[in-house]
Amino acid sequence: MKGDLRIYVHIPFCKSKCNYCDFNSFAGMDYMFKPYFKSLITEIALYANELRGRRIDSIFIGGGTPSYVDVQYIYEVLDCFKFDQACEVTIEANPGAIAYHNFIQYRQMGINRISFGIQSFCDRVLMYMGRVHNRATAINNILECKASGFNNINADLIFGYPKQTMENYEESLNVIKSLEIPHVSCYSLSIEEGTLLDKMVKKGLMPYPDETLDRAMYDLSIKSLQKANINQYEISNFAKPGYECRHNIGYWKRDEYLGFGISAHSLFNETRYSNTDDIHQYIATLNKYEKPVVDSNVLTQEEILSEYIILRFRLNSGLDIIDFKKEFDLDFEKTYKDKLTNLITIGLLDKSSNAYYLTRLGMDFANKVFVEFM
Amino acid sequence: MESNLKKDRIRNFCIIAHIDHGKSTLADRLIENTGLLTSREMYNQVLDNMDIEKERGITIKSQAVRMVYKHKDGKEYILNLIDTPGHVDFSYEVSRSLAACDGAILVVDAAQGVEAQTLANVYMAIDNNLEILPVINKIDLPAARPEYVIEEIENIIGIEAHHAPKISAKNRININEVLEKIVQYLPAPEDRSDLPARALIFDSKFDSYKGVIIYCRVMDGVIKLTDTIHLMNTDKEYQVVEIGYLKPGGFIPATELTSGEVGYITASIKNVEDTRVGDTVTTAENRATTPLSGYKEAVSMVFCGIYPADGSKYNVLKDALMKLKLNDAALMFEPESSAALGFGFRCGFLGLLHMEIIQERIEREFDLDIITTAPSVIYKVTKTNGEVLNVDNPTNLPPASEIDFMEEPIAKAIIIVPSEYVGNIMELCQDRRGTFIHMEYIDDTRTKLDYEIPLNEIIYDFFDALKSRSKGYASLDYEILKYEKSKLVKMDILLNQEVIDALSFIVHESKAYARGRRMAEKLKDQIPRHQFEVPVQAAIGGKIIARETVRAYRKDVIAKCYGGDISRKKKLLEKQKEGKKRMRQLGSVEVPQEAFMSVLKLDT
Repeated sequence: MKGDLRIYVHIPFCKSKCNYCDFNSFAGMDYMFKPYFKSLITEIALYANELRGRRIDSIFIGGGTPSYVDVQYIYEVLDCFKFDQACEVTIEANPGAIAYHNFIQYRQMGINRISFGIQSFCDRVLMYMGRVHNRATAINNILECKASGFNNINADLIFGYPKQTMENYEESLNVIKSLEIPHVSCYSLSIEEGTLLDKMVKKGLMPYPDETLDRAMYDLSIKSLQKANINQYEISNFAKPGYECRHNIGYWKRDEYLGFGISAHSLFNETRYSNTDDIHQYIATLNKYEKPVVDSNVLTQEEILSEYIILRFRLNSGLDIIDFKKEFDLDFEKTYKDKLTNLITIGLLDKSSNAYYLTRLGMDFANKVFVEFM
Repeated sequence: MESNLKKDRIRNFCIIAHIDHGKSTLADRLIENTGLLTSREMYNQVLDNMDIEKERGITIKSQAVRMVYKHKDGKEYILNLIDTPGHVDFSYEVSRSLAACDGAILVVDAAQGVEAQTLANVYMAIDNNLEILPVINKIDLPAARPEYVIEEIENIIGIEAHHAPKISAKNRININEVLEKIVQYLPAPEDRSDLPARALIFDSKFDSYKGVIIYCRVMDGVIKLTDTIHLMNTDKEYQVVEIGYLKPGGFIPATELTSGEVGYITASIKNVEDTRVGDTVTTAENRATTPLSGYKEAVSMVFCGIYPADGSKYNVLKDALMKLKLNDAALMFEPESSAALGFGFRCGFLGLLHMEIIQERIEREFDLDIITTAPSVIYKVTKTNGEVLNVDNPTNLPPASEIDFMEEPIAKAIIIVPSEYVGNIMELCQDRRGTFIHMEYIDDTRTKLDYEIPLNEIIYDFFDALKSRSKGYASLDYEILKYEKSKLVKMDILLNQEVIDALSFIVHESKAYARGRRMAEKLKDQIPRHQFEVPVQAAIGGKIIARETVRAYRKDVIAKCYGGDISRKKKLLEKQKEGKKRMRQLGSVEVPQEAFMSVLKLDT
């Protein structure tokens, strides 16, 4: 599988930790910037063999809050890679943790896509989430971003948050549309174990999310965005035609990618491996010029097959039986006849001419479908 | 040649210990040190043959090995190690294994000291007149305090312990001292070769080539390869096919077994029921007049339904039960059917552990997913028309209007507990409808309590509750005493308005409301959310006494799935898949298999 390569770089630092967040990210560790980026650059150097001779089709700098660290650090990281103008280069930015001149510098160093952690345009909901920004800052940052010449912009939204109402979610979608943002990720909230939100809900300080409302909000996302020609292409992702995120589609199509930084994952040579999630161990290992990989799993043919099916089903385009046949030399319909029939009967799956895809109900209960192919 | 061996060169002994104190490891080391097996070829812990035994660290079925040990006096000794099961359900089997020995090694953990289970077995050993050699194990643990533990053994059990070898079975420290002291301190069997033959069966198992293999200790006389044996309690006769000694994982054929020796006999016997543990083997030609004492029939005390999770596997289940029965005379079963679960079997067991073991063996050895219903005892039901029924399945209980009265089995329970927990345990017994009979101080620290407790309270997590209220120190022994009139009712459970017969149980009137409520609560937690709301109700005679609701779910989807998530989410889905495999469709509701059993553990 030698095609183009994708690169992920993890920047774990944040201005402050949000209530619902269970990512590997730290607030108040600014003194670690320098040693961390030094290690990051060492790590990339250790992958010279894997990188050699491969075109890079996308780079994603995620976090944490990459926009929170000095631009110079981002420049040094990008400088490690050879990439052309066609390469999709995304950086995640959080309103309130970015300035106008940053956008200009990002453009100069080859970044061509900005992904904003907006979550909501309602100040009350932003407060419940523990976000550092407010609606005004967010709108201001997006306008600055556009003014500096970016048009490939994503906004992340969360729905189904405790105390969030249908009205204020709808308003957030409307702001997105009026700002003409071409890509939106709408995430149904899941309360992760150990987060502040989890503790608050368990102690009764916040109500449990209302799942009926959550689904109504999901419906609304699909319908409302569609009116602005922002069409759903994955369970949680929506874009104007041509603005779909190539990097993320790469994950769902099982393209090869290398991840750098703490807790970054890679898929290379049909092996999934992951880095340590301990920043001190990460730095110590790289100081010895060793790769900080802690877990490595060579995929079996069954695992590859199962990943392929599950990940394709995430996409609205679904699983194409001709592509499947090419990839595995296997008849998809014959192999899974009973399962497919059953899933169609209970309304979770449907079929167009050549493709099987999740129905709207199937998107609510996608795990039920996925489990069948594990 | 070997049978001419002098009896003073034989030692027949067992090892008794609390769970995890190192019984099996010591057995391995003794075998290793006497050179029968090198450690490399030794299958770890040879005495415990079954997987379940290895996992739970307990010995269920007893077996034996013969070791040849060269003592420092230059002579060779035959050491027969007879393994004993270690749970109250098998107390009869334990007592027969002990009766086959002349001595016992008592293994005590140097860090933990004497514990309840140790005591129960020590008393049984003393009752069987066994000489006891204490061994202090795990002396290399940082928390080891061997001198203190020696004092404890002397004080609590009242046996000499200063000569106890201090060892580490795991790290092979001082194993030879144990072997030396077995020869030095444990008695040789008495030579009674001139009496008519009597051999005690301490185990038997079915082998597809040899038929039933009898494991026995010859107490009196001689049994020869050419003999016809007579089993005194079952009154059957068989021509001996093979006779000999036991080695780990195999047999050493011989021409005879004489008084004091331990070995095996095969005689083309088809059924282990004919070679019940505790029975006496004599010879047809020179019959003994009385059998050895202590024999008891196997009596099923606990019953439950066992069903294949996949209805089409009924015959596989039947086959599994028949195969298990070959080696387990105490297992009873007959076909039954349930509206909720389809076709299955009503099975009878010695007790709860026996039941759990059989369930696990079916699942593991036959790779079969099963569902078990709530355990029950046998109730005697007298109908208004005078007819008397024995009911071991709540489904078969006649309508309340046809019942004149019901009787339930009452057990005599003996509980030994450190004195500081007596209050807790008395409270528990009271709560379980127990009648206090007698209390006795065994020594400064321990108390013996005699209670009469309805058996249906004992099968219902009593043992767990006993342990948790005594920090694990209380020990229990029980036997059926009598039947007594009792006000009992049948509790039905409804899921989504439908009565699920497999979840019904019989309960005393005074506890019905509390248990119904608790059961509904517990089921609510056990039943996964469905795409619709599921009411869980408990009812007595059509009257709803408790209701809980399993909320509906509207989504089951991983919203975020990017590079790093894929491996993690796969694990999540794996878990979900495992859970799904253990679901049973009851009407419109999916119920995990565990729900059928865990609802019985309402106390925990």
